[in-house]
Amino acid sequence: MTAPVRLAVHVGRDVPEGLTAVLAALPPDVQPVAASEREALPEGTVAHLYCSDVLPRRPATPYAVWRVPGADAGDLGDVPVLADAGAEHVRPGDLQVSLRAWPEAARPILPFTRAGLRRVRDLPGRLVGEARPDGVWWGVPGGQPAAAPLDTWPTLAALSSAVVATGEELWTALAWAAPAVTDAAGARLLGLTPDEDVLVGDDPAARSRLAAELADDDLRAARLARSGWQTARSHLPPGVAADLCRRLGVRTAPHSSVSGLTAALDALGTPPHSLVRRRARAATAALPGAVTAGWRPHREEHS
Amino acid sequence: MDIVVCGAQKPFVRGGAEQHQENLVAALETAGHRVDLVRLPVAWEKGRLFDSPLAWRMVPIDADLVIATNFPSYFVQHPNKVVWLLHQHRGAYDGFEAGASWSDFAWDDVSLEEQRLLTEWDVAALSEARTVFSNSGVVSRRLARFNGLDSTPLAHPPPLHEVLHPGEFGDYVLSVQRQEENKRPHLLVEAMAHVPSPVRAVMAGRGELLDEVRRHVEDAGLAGKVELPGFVPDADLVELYAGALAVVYVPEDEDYGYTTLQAFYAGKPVICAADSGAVLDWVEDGVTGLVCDGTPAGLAAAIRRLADDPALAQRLGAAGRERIADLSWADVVARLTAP
Repeated sequence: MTAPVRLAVHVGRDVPEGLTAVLAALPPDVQPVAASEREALPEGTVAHLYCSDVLPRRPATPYAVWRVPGADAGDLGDVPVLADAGAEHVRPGDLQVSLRAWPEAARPILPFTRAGLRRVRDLPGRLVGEARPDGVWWGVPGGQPAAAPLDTWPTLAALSSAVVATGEELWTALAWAAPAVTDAAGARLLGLTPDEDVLVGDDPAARSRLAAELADDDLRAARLARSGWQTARSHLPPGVAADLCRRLGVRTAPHSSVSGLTAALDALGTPPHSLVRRRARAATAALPGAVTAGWRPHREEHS
Repeated sequence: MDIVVCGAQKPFVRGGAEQHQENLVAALETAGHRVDLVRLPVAWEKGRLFDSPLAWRMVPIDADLVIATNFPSYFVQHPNKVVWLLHQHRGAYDGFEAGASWSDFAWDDVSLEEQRLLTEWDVAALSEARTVFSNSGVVSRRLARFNGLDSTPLAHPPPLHEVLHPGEFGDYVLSVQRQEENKRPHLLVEAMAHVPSPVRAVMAGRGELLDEVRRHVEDAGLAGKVELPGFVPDADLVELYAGALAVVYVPEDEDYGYTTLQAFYAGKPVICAADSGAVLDWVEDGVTGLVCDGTPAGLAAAIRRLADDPALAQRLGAAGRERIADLSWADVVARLTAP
């Protein structure tokens, strides 16, 4: 059995909440270990992660830095930097960590499928949903929008050709892979890149106009929807942990002892009651453990 | 490098994708790599749609590089994965959208959830790749529109490109294809009823519609004017290309289509339809061929135009040959294996 790969973590007085979440999400074969300048490194240490408030003049390499607010780490060049999503001074390419809860029921629905869902529900071919301070609205682009109950926002996020939202409503929309328009603060808060992940408008009129244009441009909508969804997910601790390992050159086992059929299905985003899970169970029924490798007790498929 | 080329194949069916994968293996070997081709069966119907992707997900591949080609081989997991996409599951995307008879997706919630999940899986698997190339502009546009993913078209020389050569401009138009529905073989038969003698059509290739098309020719009284020889050996095919007036290739939304490129290597203009897909990446109306409206009358008019003006056929054919002058497998290999 091979020894685990270790990531030495150098922290100051406080351990940032986001950092804790990332460490907890590291792949099973990568162990985080607390380290300090005064103690010998444990065997198997292959990389280091420093909080910026304890970053030494000559850090051990390879290393990454968690940017602690108020502790300027100077010019870090190509060093991977982690920070809370929406933090000040985030550079392009920094690993931004979001602790927002991902809506459990959300599924990415790209524009072609959205159009199909609208079609089978006899909804308009083009539909814009908008979350405003005064409530939730929906309608055809350029038309008079109608008010909708607040709790219908996930449905609108799933069916609209384009949405206008900020804050939690924007996060929900991204979880459903809605092509989204927001303001500059909303994009920054969620660590989104304007024109790649979302469109940004300066005022309500500009945002409505952008949403109407987006609703008519399937190609652009598909790119934004896919990118916004993937970027939002990449800010969750498991995505950041995987990216951190890759950028530090920490090789993780492609098929660890808990990577079985279930893990493969999970990684692809397969819903619990989908046909393919039933087929996988049927195909492996005579093979003990084939499906339960990667078993997790809360998944009802194994009950 | 040790390279594994991954491809899916429907058992007992062999077409352009299988040829493509084998040619890629040969080109990689010529460049000095150690190469193996790994294939798994694929089923296209909705009820078994996810079985083969999942099988690919679990296949252990130990190599320096994997190059995945068609659906669902790109579900293979590898830290150094490059995709050269020939096609996705077209029945779940453009075939579904167009209501094609070969798509079993319907406008209902069950179909749409299967389609949505496949879209999510495709995005996940393709996003893992270091680089995604596609076979053609059409395949790239589909990937962008349905999956929101960017890719780079990467063209390659067709089979027989080393031996195809220009020749005289004869009295026949040539069609080289499998006689199947999406290739629309009946269109040329119907067009030939409107083309005066002595112009003939030679339709090379087998396929599930071959007997039906032969009956169509008989019933239309075109037996002396349209020949359907079925399978034609490579050496004979090269000479058929060399002696043709032009090549007719009017498929519906083709992914790539070797026939177009083979025609250009033989210095022949190509007549295609406005909805022929990736053929239009190569055939520019009045420059390298003629683009017709996809009706028998329109196709017949294009054939008559070239028959009446052989100098035009020669000029368009020469431009086509110029158009493919830079295609090379060495370039393809360099781009696929670039770090």
